[in-house]
Amino acid sequence: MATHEIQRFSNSERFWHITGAVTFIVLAVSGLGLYAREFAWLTVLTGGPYLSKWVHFLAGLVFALCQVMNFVQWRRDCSEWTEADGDWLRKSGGYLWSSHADVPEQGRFNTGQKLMFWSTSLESLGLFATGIVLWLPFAFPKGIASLSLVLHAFFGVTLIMLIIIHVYLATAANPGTFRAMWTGRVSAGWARYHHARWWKEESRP
Amino acid sequence: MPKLAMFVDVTKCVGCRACTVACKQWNKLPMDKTHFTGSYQNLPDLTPTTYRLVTFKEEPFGGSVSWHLLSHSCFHCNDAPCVKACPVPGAMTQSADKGYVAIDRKKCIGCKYCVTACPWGIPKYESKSETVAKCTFCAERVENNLTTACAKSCPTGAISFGDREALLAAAKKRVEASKKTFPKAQIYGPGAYGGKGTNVFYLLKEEPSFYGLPPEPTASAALGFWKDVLRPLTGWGIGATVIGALIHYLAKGPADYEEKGEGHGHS
Ligand code: HEM
Ligand code: SF4
Ligand code: SF4
Repeated sequence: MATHEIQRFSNSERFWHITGAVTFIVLAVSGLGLYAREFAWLTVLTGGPYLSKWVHFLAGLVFALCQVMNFVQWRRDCSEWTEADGDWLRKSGGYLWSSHADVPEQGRFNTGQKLMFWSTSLESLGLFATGIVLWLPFAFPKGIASLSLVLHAFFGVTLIMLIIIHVYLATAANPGTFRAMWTGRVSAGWARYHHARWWKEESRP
Repeated sequence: MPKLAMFVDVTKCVGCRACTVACKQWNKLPMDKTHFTGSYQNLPDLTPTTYRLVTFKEEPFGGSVSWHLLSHSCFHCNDAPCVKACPVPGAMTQSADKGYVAIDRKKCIGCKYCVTACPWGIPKYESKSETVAKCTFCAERVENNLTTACAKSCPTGAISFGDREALLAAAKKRVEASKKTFPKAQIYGPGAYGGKGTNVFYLLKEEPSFYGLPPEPTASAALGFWKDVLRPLTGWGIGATVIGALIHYLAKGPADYEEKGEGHGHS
């Protein structure tokens, strides 16, 4: 078995991503519950409205740390951008139109993943900054506080939508991907299919 | 049931503060510690235990001083921004028929969204209980056909309580009569929020800004975008994303790298 498997993520990469994923789910549920009265029923999952306020705050701090670590450990791999990325986008990575066979070979992360990385990183930064304002509204001018309320909600809702897409692509849409996050290892066939350029670099002796 | 209102006529106020005492008494509020700042005003602002406050603004007048008094509290806005912002069902609510805005502190979680939303910053946050507090329009009295405690106690009739339409008409008469003595006299409140108005309104002797009041109180555009645009779209947006993924799965199916015949993933 081991002969056909290769290491995709280090222990630290797995730890920060898994912790971030768990705290994100807690944040999404408690955050929606604290966002508008029609979602308030969701707060039963996080101990009622009052406890949800604290759960959301504390989980937010942990999530922010995870996102900083994810940023540090993935920014280099997610910053390379070549003509192949434009080509990937024109072919929608083979996900919507064009087929996978026409899509250019990808490095450690494909174009879509790199965009996912940057959008989730920026939205997390926005959520952290506006979240601090919501926690301490009296320390900021009123205009900043009301702007933060709407921006926090906007970043939160759009990040939830992005993560739904992310989770779909990382599980049902692409079998064999989830274990990269969970065990850190993927099959050689998976690596060659999804990230041929990375696979060639990795399997070079 | 007609809408209820309070009308505060500052030209009749003598600064006796009976209203603030009656408010404390009815709501069983403790005294706040005051500090002498050279003014007759008790506190600089409302607090979690002071729902009503008379502000004293001094102006030189002949050889003496003249006081500009304002007995103020929550405005009980129509379509109140604080109610719009509050995320907890039943915490900050508006009486559908009578129009006043009540807070249930047992349900309040202290998120402070209402403080940010209120154009005057009326709700005050109390860190000890992690809740906010503000004027309740004496809901328990009003619901039992009594007047508010402040209106009841005012010896000069500066605070009147009753049917909103009747009080508005009375206010219009008073402002005309007052213009002889106070040329800048004006009614403050009914024109707020682009005309939706408040249920507590004032006859002021001077411009609102003179008393430190915003001349044109409105809900912030950010609150409107958040609650009127983003909020109704949220459920649809998240639902559409899930359904989109489902349709994609049904139409495209999972990527099958093993069919390419290269490399065996499993063994
Ligand atoms: C909630 C459950 C989540 C699951 C099941 C999940 C799954 C995965 C998987 C399997 C990978 C590896 C992809 C590969 O090997 O190519 C991955 C990568 C990644 N995840 Fe997640 N993830 C989750 C949540 C999150 C969250 C909350 C964020 C950040 C807000 C996030 C950000 C990323 C990023 C930036 C990458 C690397 C680039 C990419 O694949 O887009 N993930 N995730
Ligand atoms: S004055 Fe402020 S607290 Fe009172 S009803 Fe209006 S928005 Fe709410
Ligand atoms: S502080 Fe209390 S009343 Fe104000 S918005 Fe939050 S839960 Fe509602």
